[in-house]
Amino acid sequence: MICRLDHAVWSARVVRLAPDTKPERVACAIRTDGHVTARPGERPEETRQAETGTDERTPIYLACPEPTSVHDHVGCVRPNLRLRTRTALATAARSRGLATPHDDEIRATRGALDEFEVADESLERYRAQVAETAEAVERAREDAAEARGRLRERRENGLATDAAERRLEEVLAALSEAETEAIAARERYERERARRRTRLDERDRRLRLEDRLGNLERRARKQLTERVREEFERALTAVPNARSEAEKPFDADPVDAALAIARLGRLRAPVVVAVDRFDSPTAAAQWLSADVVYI
Amino acid sequence: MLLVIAYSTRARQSLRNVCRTHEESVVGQFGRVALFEATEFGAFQALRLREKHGEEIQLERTVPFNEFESVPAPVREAARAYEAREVPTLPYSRFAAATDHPTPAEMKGKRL
Repeated sequence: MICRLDHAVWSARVVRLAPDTKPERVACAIRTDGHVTARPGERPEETRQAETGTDERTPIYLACPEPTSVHDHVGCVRPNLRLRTRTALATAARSRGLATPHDDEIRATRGALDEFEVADESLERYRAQVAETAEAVERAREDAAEARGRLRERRENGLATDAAERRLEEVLAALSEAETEAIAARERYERERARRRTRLDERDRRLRLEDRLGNLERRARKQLTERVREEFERALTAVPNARSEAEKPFDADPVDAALAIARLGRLRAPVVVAVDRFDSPTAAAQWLSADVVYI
Repeated sequence: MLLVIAYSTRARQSLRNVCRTHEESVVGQFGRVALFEATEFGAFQALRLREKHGEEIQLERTVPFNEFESVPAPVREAARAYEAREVPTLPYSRFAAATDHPTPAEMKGKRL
């Protein structure tokens, strides 16, 4: 790897950085997509730059081969690491080319899921229209009742009714118009609901596919972890200064487990080691059989 | 009550989380479906889910079902009579044909 921090450049298999360097930033520099990503056996040429975000400190440049997906799990070993041990172990098994009988179906199901595209069309405005037009009808009804009352009152009192009659006609026309609009709004909403039914059926199918994929992946994961379980246990007991009991490998201390998994998996890119289990950076690299950024 | 249906794994996960966190406002949960209490808080939770997941969350409001209000007597009577039939294997269509009860086709076309 080639690592550049401020003005210092290292080109080495093992790099040691200052203790105040944030391990996550280094991992990010390793994982950040470059324009060109090195394949195994190719010379890495693209420099990856860590997105420093709000960080005021100097950017870290790291040129290295593209990390495998195990790197996401155990490529940055630091205190208080959170690890989904089984998932990480299964990914490590995959990185070594292990396959399961479910793989074809997993691929096919993923492909089917990728092809799913259901438009998300909110019916909010249709619902709002239904409510608004219903409210308008209510108001128009009140106006009509009022106009009727007024006309009746004038008649009973022997007053001129021309204006009141005109007013009543007007509000009745308005009421009829409001009612038409309300019916139209309701029909539009019902139509959209019916159209949505087909989209929801599609979503149902997709959910079933997602569930199937989940089941397949769980089964595959189980098989993969079973196949490397013994090796994992051995690696766990070999972790220098380990904190875990060997009997329960999946309840092991996350740092121990991450180191063991990093040892048995293929990460391709450097492992960031920010824990004090090893005597030296070189010892870490040797134990892991990987390039190491040691903090 | 408010009927909440999830149409994706993510939406279902959110729905489960809400049900777990607000048990007191949840009347029932069945897989990816839940019934929330018809309170402002129940509505708030339901709307929050739809805000987050769009159409992957379907919301409906349920009404109590009173057959004496909304179902014609012949249909109610048919249900009772059929469940009291003597031959358990008799399909309803044949049962209806042999009696005065409405046929499935007659009932299917009629909205409540």
